[in-house]
Amino acid sequence: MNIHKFVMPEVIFGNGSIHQVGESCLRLGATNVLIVSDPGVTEAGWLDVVIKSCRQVGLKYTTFCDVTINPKDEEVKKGCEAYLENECDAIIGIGGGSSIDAAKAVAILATNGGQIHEYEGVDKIQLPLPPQVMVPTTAGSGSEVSQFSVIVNTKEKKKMTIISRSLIPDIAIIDPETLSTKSAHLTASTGLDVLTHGIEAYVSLAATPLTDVQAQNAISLVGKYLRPSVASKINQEAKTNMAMASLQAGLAFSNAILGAVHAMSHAVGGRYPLLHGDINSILLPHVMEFNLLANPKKFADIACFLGMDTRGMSYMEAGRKTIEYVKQLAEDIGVPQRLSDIGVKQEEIRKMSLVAFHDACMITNPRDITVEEIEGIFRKAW
Amino acid sequence: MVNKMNDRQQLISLLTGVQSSKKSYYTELKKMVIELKKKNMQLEIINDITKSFNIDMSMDEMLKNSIDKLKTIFPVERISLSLCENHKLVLTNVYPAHSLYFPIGFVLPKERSLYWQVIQSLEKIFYQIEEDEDLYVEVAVYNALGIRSVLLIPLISKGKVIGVLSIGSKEKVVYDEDDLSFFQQFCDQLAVCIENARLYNEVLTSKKEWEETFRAVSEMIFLIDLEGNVLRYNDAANEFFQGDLYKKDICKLLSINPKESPIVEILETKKPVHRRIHIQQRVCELRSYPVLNEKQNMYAVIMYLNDITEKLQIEAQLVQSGKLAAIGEMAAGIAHELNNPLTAILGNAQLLLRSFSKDDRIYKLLFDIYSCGKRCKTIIQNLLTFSRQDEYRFEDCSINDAVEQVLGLIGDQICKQNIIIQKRLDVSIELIEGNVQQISQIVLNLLINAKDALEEIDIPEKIIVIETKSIVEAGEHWVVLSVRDNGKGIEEQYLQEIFNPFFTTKRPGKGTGLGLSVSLGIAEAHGGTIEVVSELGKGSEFILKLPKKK
Repeated sequence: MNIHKFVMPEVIFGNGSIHQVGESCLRLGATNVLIVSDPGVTEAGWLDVVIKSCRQVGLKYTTFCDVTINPKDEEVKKGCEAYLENECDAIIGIGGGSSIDAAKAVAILATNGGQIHEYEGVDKIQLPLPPQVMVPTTAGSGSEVSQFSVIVNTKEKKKMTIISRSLIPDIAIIDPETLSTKSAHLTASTGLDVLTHGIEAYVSLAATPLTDVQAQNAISLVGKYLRPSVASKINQEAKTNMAMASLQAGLAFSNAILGAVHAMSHAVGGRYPLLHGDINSILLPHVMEFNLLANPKKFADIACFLGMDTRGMSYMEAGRKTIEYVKQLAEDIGVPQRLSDIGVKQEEIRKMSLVAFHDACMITNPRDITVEEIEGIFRKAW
Repeated sequence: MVNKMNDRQQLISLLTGVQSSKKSYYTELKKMVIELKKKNMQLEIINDITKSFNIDMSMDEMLKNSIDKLKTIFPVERISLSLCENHKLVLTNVYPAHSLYFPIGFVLPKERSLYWQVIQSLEKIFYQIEEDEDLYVEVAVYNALGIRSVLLIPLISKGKVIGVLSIGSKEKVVYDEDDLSFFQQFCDQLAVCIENARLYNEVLTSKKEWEETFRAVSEMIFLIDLEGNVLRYNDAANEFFQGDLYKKDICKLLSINPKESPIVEILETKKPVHRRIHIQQRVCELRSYPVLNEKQNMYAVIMYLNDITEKLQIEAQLVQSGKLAAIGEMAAGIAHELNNPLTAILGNAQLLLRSFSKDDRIYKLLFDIYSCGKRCKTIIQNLLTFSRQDEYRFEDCSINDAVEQVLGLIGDQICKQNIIIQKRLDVSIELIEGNVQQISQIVLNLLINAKDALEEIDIPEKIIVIETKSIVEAGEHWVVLSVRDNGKGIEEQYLQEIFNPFFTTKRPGKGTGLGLSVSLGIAEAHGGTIEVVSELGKGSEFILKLPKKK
């Protein structure tokens, strides 16, 4: 690609930056915000922090905290009703990828109207969205900087991927301190999600020098800090670096798009209420094995990013080392290893393969892929 | 395979959004502002049409105004208006004027006419003109003017189609639903205005007709509010009173005592009021009628004022001459009847007188009979002469003769009331050209008036001076007769009115109010006048001036 583009929101990064959320909304001209969140975040107390920040600057606010893991179209609809009923004029999303994606989807409906499934696909949003300020509390999804929103279509039992420049939030506030409340499992799961983002973006067909540098950084930070981060809730250095890794991976994949892991993961997530990171961590090594052929050099690069000595190795050899590393990392931090372990049913693999084949993320996968090949990968991972 | 590759590249650029950007509220706002501006302009145009009707703007000006505004939002170069008149479609206005092709007033044929199609279908037609087609008669016009697309809209007012508006553009424009609905609104408003203008003109014309009628009436007409102020008046009133009468008090204007104001009377009675009033030596008939609103409440008074001075004078003369004719006839009859016995009395008395000496007591008695009879005969003679009114022949005559004739008739009667008549006749008086009987009538009237003025007062010496003389005034020779009394005089306020027919200050039965008016009529018929000088309590002098014989 000769012509490329790199987009990102304003980013506020640092410990305690969450307290700036109210001020940030004010700067965008907000007077009455809708705060979209989920019960986990509420319980962790982060919602109160956001509310306090809004109160301090005299912002009116309404809360919508009914978002579940893998946000549903119906939740989005309710969120939008809350927005319109209370005559809000800006949106704050606080939480993991689910809350942020839901907040974005509410923003779409708030100014464009209609049903959320009408916006599935690329560039279907016609009118500008209200100002959006996103505060991720899990280092993983990257949604706070991305142009994606993934919402479950409950009728068709699948995840709808909505892609639009307009979905890039206005301000992303990344406060590593928020990561301290995550469980070890969630830290592990989201950490591997970050790695998946980094790797998929790096080998993506749409990768550019601008995304590569972000992906590279994200991958090496995960290599260094994921293990300590899982190990300790209070390791500030590990948390801060994982937050940065998540941000950079987000910037990379938002601009370079993803690949087969996410395409397949979306297909699973549409049917099972599973953690996105868990599914990704299971699928990642299998997809890497399949994709290695498409760009051995880049897979070899990743080995270097992860701090391995690849001197004297061929690209293919180094690439295989990378895959082994990923498998080892997953094992070390204790994320699930097989789809069967997390309850995915074998008889659904065919259907999920078909769904994955049509997922938008599949377009940038470095290796051409068939439904049968997808099915093969699923079976290997099962 | 190459194709597939391209597809993939396209999909990837879509995904990475090389060709897309975040939607911005700025552009959205700009779009909205432009739309609002357009809407505003549209509203302004419609508002303008409504307004321009109100300020009575001409249709050409209205179209000019509209097109100037329309131009700011649509590529409009020409507007033409055709209206239905008696089942014909007539071109009435074109703007700008240089885009005229058919002349104003051109009747559009029904065949192959786009305009007629609009009239008949009652639907808008949007037509793009192709260079070399001639399907419709109008197309030639558009081709000649370089108009490429035209929007034709029927003008419908109260369900009736009244015409067609054609909006032409030199480019091939495309109008969306909103534009069309605006043009429809524009035309609906225009139709209402055209219809209103027509109705307005109708009302105006009939109002004008009424006003002209009002103005043309030769009687004075006033519309007066309930406080007595003049609201409107016609030309006749203006001519009579001279000057602006608006808001003038009607009582002051007509010299009516405010207590006797017809307005007050009409307010009380709610019924028409009829009066006869005297203004500035004129007699006018006044008729007032209440003007009621829909709720039958009176809000104004309409007043007619008719100057009947001339009419009355003629009437008075008719009455007088009728009277005189009757008296004359009667007098002739009586004279004839009395003449015979008088002749017998006089003859016999004369015969008997010869039989007695002058010293005889009987002679004296007989002489009395004779002289009284003689006097009777003279009176009868005078009566006959005076009453010969039928022949108003103008001939040379002396005013002194008239005086003598009248004194012969009523001189004794006046003397019997202890009034001294001092006769100062100029024996060398110039002759006049006139009718001595008529002049006598004037003298008679003046004498009777003088006598009446002396009758009711108590002064030691009641005198009437009758004087005749010749004078020269402003190079004209006049013969003057003056009758002066030292009676009660005339109040100043009546001086203006005494010559008006039927005006009298005498008690009922005594005067008819005809004498002076008839006298003045006669004097004027002789080219002369009657003037009056009077002082209350000291007496009056009436001066008859007649031109001397030429």
